[in-house]
Formats: sequence, C-alpha cells, structure tokens
Amino acid sequence: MGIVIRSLRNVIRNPLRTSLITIILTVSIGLALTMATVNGATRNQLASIGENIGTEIQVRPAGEFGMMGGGNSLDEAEVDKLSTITHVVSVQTSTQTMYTGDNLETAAPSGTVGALPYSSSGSTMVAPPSGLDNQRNFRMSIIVMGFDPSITNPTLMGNATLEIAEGRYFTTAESDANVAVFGQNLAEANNLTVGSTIDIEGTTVEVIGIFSTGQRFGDNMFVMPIGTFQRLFNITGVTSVTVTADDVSNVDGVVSAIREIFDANTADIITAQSTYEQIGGSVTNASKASQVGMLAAFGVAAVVILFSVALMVRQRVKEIGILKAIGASSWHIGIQFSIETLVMSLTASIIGALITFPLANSVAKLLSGSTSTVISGGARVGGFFGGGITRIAGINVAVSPEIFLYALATAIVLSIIASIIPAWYIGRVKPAEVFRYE
Amino acid sequence: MNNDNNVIVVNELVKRFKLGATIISAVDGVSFSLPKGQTVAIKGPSGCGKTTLLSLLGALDKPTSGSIIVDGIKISELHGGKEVQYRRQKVGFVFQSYYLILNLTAMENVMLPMDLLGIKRLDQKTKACQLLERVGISSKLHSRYPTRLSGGEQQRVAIARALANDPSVILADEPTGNLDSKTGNVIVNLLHSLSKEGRTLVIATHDAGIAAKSNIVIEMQDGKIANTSIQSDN
Ligand SMILES: Nc1ncnc2c1ncn2[C@@H]1O[C@H](COP(=O)(O)OP(=O)(O)OP(=O)(O)O)[C@@H](O)[C@H]1O
Ligand SMILES: [Mg+2]
Repeated sequence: MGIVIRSLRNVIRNPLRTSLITIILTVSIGLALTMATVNGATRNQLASIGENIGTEIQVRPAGEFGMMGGGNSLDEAEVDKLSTITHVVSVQTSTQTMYTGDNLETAAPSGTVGALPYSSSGSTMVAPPSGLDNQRNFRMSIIVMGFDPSITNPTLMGNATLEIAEGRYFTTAESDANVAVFGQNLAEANNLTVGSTIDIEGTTVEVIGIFSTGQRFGDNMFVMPIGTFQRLFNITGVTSVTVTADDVSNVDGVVSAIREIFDANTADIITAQSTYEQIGGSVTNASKASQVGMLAAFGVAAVVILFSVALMVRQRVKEIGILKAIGASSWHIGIQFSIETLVMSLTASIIGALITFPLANSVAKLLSGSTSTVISGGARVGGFFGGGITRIAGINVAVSPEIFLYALATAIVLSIIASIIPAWYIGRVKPAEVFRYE
Repeated sequence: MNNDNNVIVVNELVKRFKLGATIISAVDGVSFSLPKGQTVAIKGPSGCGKTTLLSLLGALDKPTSGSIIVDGIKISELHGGKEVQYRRQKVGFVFQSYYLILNLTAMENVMLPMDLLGIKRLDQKTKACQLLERVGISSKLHSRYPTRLSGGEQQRVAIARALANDPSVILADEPTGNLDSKTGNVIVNLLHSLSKEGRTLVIATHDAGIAAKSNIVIEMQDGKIANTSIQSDN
C-alpha cells in the first residue's frame, strides 16, 4: 500500500510538473473525446439519413429540375404501369409547376431568402437551396400543384401536409372544376379569402379553401384538381412520381424495372442511394474529419505523456538509484512510476470528459459548418429544389455519460503506453554509476 | 582470518573499468576478512578505490573477478534480482550526500526499507519512531521533508533509514564529507555505536580522525591494500 501513497506523494509534491502535464493531457484527451463524440454523432446522422430516405424512389421528367422545367411531364399511361412492378408498395403522383402569372404576389418577400427564418420540421432546419444562397434578390416562386381529388391528404412539396384551415378541399365531383385551395400565406399576401375569385391563365377560378402547412414554402402555393390543373397550364401527364418499394434491399430491383418503363431520356430516377450519397457526403466528410481529429488528438496525448514520463524518469534517475540501493526492485519502481502516470492521466481524462460536453457541439458545428448537408424529409429532397440539396443545419450531438468510460479507457491505455519507457529505463539504471555522476 | 566469526570475506577482488582504450583497475586484487561487530575504516587518497570497493560489497556493482561472501552469501555471484534482495535484507547504506527521498518525510524515508520488506505499516511507524529517536531526531522533525532539515539532521535520518531493515552490514561512504567537523564527530560516534549491536560497519573516508576511531583500518593505494592495522584499544 505504501507504494500508492508514495506515488500520490510524488504527484502532489510536484504541483508545477503535475499541473503542466495534466493540463496538456487534459486538452488533448478532451479533444480526442470530443472528436470521438462528434464522430459517433455523424455516424448516427448518416444512419438516420439512410433510414429517412428509406425505400422511396423519385421519378421525374428527364432533365427537369423538379417542377422548374415547366412543360415536360411523364406519360400517365406509363406512370400507371409503375404500380404493377413487383415490390412496389405505392405510387404517388403529383403534378406541379411554377406559377408565372404576375397577378399573384409571392408570400415570401424577395431579397431576404438567405435570412429567412426557415421553419423547422422535427429537429432539423430547412434552409434555402444551396445554389440560391448568394442570390439575395431571388424571388420566391409560387408553386401550383394538381391533385387527384380522391387523394384527400396529399403531400405537398417540401414534404408538408395540407391541412384545411378555412373553407374546404375539392371533391371528386370537382376533378375539372375551376376551383383552387390556397396556402394561407399566399392568400393573405393577395387578400384572398374563401369565396374570392382570381384569374389563372385566363380562367376565373374560385378560392374554395385555405390550407396551412406551418411551413413558409408550403404556404406559398395553391392546389387545384388535377383536371383543372392540366387544362389551365396545358400540362398532360404527371411531373413527379414517388414510388415506394417494400424493402431497402429491393430498391435497386425496382429502379431497374422503372428504367424499363422510362429510359434515361424520358425520366430521371433518384434513388435513396444516390440521394444518400449526395446529401450524406458532407456528413461523411465531417465524420472523417472527426475521426482523423480523434486519432491526432489521441496521438498528441500519447506523445505528451511519453515525453513527460521520459523527462520525469530522466530527472529522477538519482531517486531511482537510491530506491534500488535500498532494495527496491526495478519492477517495484516501475509500478510506482506507472501509478503516478495513471493518476495524472486519470485526472486529465476526467476533466477532459467534462470539457467534452460543451466542446463537442461547437466542434460538430465547426466541422459540419456551412458545407453541412444533413437532411430530413427523405425522398422529398430534391423534389422541391430541383434536384438540389436541402440543407439542414446541425448534427445532433448528444454527449453521453459513456464518455466517462471512454475517458477511463483512454487514461488506462495512455498509462500503459507511458509505462513502457520507465520500465525500460529503470531496468538500466545502475546505482553505482548514478551516485558517481549525480 | 578465515573463521566462522567473519561476516565479510573478500578474496582476490578485482574491478576494472574500461574508459575508452584505457583500462582502470579501481580495485586490484584485494583480499581481507572482517569479523562481526567491528568498525572498519577504508582509508586512502582520492581515486584509490574506496567507493568502488563499497559498491562491490553492497552488490551495487559486479566484480570483474574474485569473490565476496557476506553473511554466508556469495554476493559476487548474485543475479536475477537476488542482489536487490540481498541489499534489502542485509545491507544499510549511508552516503556522503545523504540521498534521502525528497518527496517523503523523515519518518517515511525511514519506513521505506521496511515497506519494501512487507512489514505492516503500523509496525513500520513504531520502529521508525524508535530509530529516529535513537539517532537523535526529535519527534517534531519526523514529519519534515528532507529539504527542511540541516545536513547533520539529514544524515541522522539517513542512518536511521540504513538501520530500518536491521542489516548485518552498514556501508558508509564519506558519511561526514558534507558536514562540519563537530557534527561529523557526532555522526561518526553514532555510526560506531551501531557496531555494539553486532553490526559490521565499513566506513570509507580519507579523514584520519575517523580512521583512528575504528577497530580495523585498511589503507588503500591504487586499488590495492597498502596496509592493514588492527587497533585493539578501540
Ligand atoms: N564507472 C567508472 N568508469 C570509469 N572509471 C571509474 C568508474 N568508477 C570508478 N572509476 C575509477 O576508478 C578509480 C577509483 O574510484 P573510486 O571512486 O572508487 O575512488 P575513491 O577512493 O572513492 O575516491 P574519492 O575519495 O575521491 O571518493 C578512479 O580512478 C575512478 O576514476
Ligand atoms: Mg569515493
């Protein structure tokens, strides 16, 4: 037991040496743990991106960026074949275009796109399309969508769900009627209420309902029965299809089957995998960066402890000689030094683990930064922003109490590494020579 | 001289050092036997081989040739950790520069050899107190660190530490070298009193006064014994 007391005495009796080594170790261990935490978070994020995207496959007219392309559409008869593909669970079609008439004011004010407080859905934030970031004077477009009236809960662009706030939704009897349901923000921007009429492409259309999505994008649009939409905008066919496969493993097979219906000249197919790669890319980068950072920080910690222990044994060679003369074995002295090192690296690890809590989030932000493209909303990504990237800030970094276990492991591993030099050195110390030269 | 009463028997002891191309014979064919409970002074000019001889006797170094038997153990042939065990059990060292462990208190320094022997902590304390009292360190100094003790006090603590493992041989290399003559005298008297307990004391010194107080004086010159004198009146 005396050996532990002696070790502690040495640690405490040299406050300057102890605190210097401990501080440097704390910083490097803290950094290693932080990186480990961030790394874990990015892995989770990648996994959840994969999950979110899941089994959905987007089919859109070739070359068309979302609905921005205008006239192109997919042939409805061909689209109908999609549901006959094996492993396809559902096929949801939608038609959409950008409203270009100048009699409607956009609900999203122009010139402020980049600064808009984009509404959040879940834990993620929807940010503007990357390509438009710098275009401050971008005018937020009004979107028109056409839906089969039998679909009573259509999914809007940007993955929003339509909820009637006032008035009503169109009925199956109105599949070709001149009616429209407006998004709340868009209606307000244009002083439209239930019962108002408006000229759309030369036809007078009645506003029969107002919907809300809770999303700024979602609300800057209006929906019409599919027949009305096709007639007014002179669009036949559909502009977007979401095919859902029954299992992730069948996605590739379904994609090949879709390709037989729509060739590359006719349609673009965005699979979960390609989307995943696209958006997961920078998360992967952050993941790699944090991994490299973790190894580097751990390396620094190892080097620091190796150097300080090497210096320490060198400095205390006389003490080693005395201990040997008195009858302490090299083994015994080695253990004493190892305990000293362990005490310092344990202290550093515990403090390091504590500083990891505030540090991990900052580092995650730093690593993911403005290039981060983490997403929610699954296959809808790209749908709204023309195949672009929906940027969602913030890797969700949760520092778990497990960090203390990692810290403990780090401390022990470092101490073992750091014990190699003293073990080698102490064995070579010859008291007779030490006393002669010291 | 070779009888059962001899605690140390040295025969044709040689220790050579290689220094580049030259070979230095620090100890060059030394033989002697020392009876138990005697005080022995090894005298001679600087560089004659005193420290080297003590290192060999204490198994801090290995002889080039020749043999050393201490308390029946042929220490010149010890290896594999046995020499550490020998030092732990049979030898007490006293050095010119005291060599106390600076991070341990006076008391803990004295407890250290007992700790290495696996003696219970409480017993260590009791015995350390007795030893410190014996060498004249008052209890208020027990918890002091060496840096806050005078040279004389440090050497007393070092002597107490050398006694802690109840050694049969005490090897002291210039124990008064760093002390004024008055304090030195007190320390030498203290060391000499140890032989009355049946311990054999070997002091390396070039102080004629210290040598004069010893039972046996071995004079060395260039690694060889120049003269051995037995002073029965001490
Ligand atoms: N490790 C060594 N390497 C080379 N030469 C050594 C070594 N140790 C001792 N010597 C030499 O051996 C000789 C004896 O040295 P030693 O220290 O035993 O003398 P000493 O009698 O103790 O001298 P002093 O009175 O100055 O302490 C000296 O010439 C010394 O230089
Ligand atoms: Mg000497």
